[in-house]
Amino acid sequence: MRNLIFRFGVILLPFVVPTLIQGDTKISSAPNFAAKDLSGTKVELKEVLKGGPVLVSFWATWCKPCIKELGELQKVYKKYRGKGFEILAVDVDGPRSVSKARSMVKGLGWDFPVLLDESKDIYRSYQVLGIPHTVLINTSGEIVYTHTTYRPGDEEIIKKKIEELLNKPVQPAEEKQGEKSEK
Amino acid sequence: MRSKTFPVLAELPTHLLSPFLSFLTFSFFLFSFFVSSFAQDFKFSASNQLEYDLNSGDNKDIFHDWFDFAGTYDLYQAGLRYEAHQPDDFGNTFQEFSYRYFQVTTKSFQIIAGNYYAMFGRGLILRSYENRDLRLDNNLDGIKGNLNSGRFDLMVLAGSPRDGYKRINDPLQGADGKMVVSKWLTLGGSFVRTDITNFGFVRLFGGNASFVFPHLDFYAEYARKDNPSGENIEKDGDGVYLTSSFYQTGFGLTFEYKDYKRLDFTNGELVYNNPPALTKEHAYTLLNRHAYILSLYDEKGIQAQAVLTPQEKLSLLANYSYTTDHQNRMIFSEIYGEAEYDYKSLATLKGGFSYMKNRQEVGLPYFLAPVFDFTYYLSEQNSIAFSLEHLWASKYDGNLTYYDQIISLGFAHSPNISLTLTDERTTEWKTRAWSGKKNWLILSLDLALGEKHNLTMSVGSRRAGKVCSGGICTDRPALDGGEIKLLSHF
Repeated sequence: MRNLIFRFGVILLPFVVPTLIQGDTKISSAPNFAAKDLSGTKVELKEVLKGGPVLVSFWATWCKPCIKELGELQKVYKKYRGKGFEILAVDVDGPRSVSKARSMVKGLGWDFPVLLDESKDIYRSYQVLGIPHTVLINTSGEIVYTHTTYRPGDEEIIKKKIEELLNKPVQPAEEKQGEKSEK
Repeated sequence: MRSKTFPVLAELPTHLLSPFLSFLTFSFFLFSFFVSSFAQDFKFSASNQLEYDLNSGDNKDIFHDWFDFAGTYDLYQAGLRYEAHQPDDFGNTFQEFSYRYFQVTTKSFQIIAGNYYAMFGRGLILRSYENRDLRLDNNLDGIKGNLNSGRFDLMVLAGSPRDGYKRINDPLQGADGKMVVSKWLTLGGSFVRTDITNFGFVRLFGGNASFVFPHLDFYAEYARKDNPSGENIEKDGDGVYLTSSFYQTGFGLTFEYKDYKRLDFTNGELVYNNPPALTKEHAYTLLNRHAYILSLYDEKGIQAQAVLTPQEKLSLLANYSYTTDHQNRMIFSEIYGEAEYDYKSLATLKGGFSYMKNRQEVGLPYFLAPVFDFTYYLSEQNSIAFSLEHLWASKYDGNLTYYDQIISLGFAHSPNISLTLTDERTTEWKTRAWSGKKNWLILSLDLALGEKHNLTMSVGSRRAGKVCSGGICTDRPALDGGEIKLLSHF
């Protein structure tokens, strides 16, 4: 057993140490996805990002901290939605409670779009390991902040990050691409 | 006895794909690594989930690790997973590359060669998925294609399923289609079949309809299972699932109904389908421990749930579920209600109550369980929390009663630290022969190490017990010592 732990330690060390030393400055691209919302309309991340930064939040109807977090994010959404900010709440319930999602979302008064990820394709493409899991994406399609679990007050950090993004708009990915090809 | 339907699909050499796919996936990675040094369009992501229980006494050490890696270039993606269990919760020692795939995705088309998951309808016919908490992974190994043309969605697949740590060499083929008839109506149909060794062809097929109006939706699915004919082989089975929701701002109501008989689609211990369990899914440990275990063989059930937010700071939830068999014998029922109140953004109070009857458990018990959560916000970043779960059980055989109780106290500093002390005690030892602990105490420290790593370290003891999700359950072994969980993204 100890050999095994050592082996995994050796494998993981080169990954963990640079991440801890560099902090979280390394920016990675957000995988694009398309899914249907609760009204059956197809929503694609790439299209939503044209309007402003997007917070993707993975949740499920049975997950207590997820519901707590989304309740707080609803307040954040009210404050910033007029400035182009959008939330996409990705429901990973699967078949067992997906039917409850619509009534729960409306019952709790959430206004942001809720997408259904019944076969967990989006969940896997973001390599989510536990919920609630939040990912903040700038208009270039880059992940600027990720967080797993929820502690009261986490929404304050998210607010600060959103304000940073709204005050320093990033060039949309498609414009960047256009400039590259012109050069 | 063997059917001749779809000979082309039946003859797909899915077992020969494995070495070829491994070669293809690894070649893609090697090529990607080489090219990525000078091309920015290659994107890589990786994650690792490690769980290690270090036990003293009779309990064995347990080690789980799942490492996932994916690389994307333009329309192409390849990924693999290495998992090690040394040993797992049940004493099995195992390690392998359990998942690898190569996929091409365009706006209207996707093809995956290798391992994949899939679900048809709401799972009555096929549900291939992974749930690490339940130690469940029944992924398929073969080929899957998806075609989307706006009004039509078509999925076709063929592959060998995984059961625990072994691959079953009885290939499965299937197709699932959806058609958007109008803005409010979608129709679908599914077909799946497999040739089970020493049994014959089993086929499932069905249809579904989904209506979505502005404040009302309705979903209906019918599934039928055809067994091969022969002596000592059961009759064919079928099942139906219906659900409807009504909602407007501040109020939501959901109603579900199911009725199925002999719909269990299995091969040995492997289960291919997983219809919805019409019971409340509890996150509270004690209520989850006595949750209902789904039976695919014979079940009828209803569930109703209402959510109400009469004012911004108050939310209410009520749930009722009732499940019987076809002899109208009650198997499980629960009445559950909860209320949550946010007091001037200084504190949150949540109280709930469950009255549950579970005839699947020894002694035909019923349970009364109040639950209570209290969170007080010390500042914008700091909070303390208190949680109580009390479950009073009564068994009909001899009228024996006992209680279980969990109390936890926690402190959280956003966004990095949580510290929780949890105590569980029981008087169940009064009702039967008992050896070992009667109370358990565990201290857990949860640390977010930057944004990419989450470390949970626990010291103490935790009671063994059932853990359930969607009617599927596993037995979680006891802990007496230390536990480490590390979730990492790279």
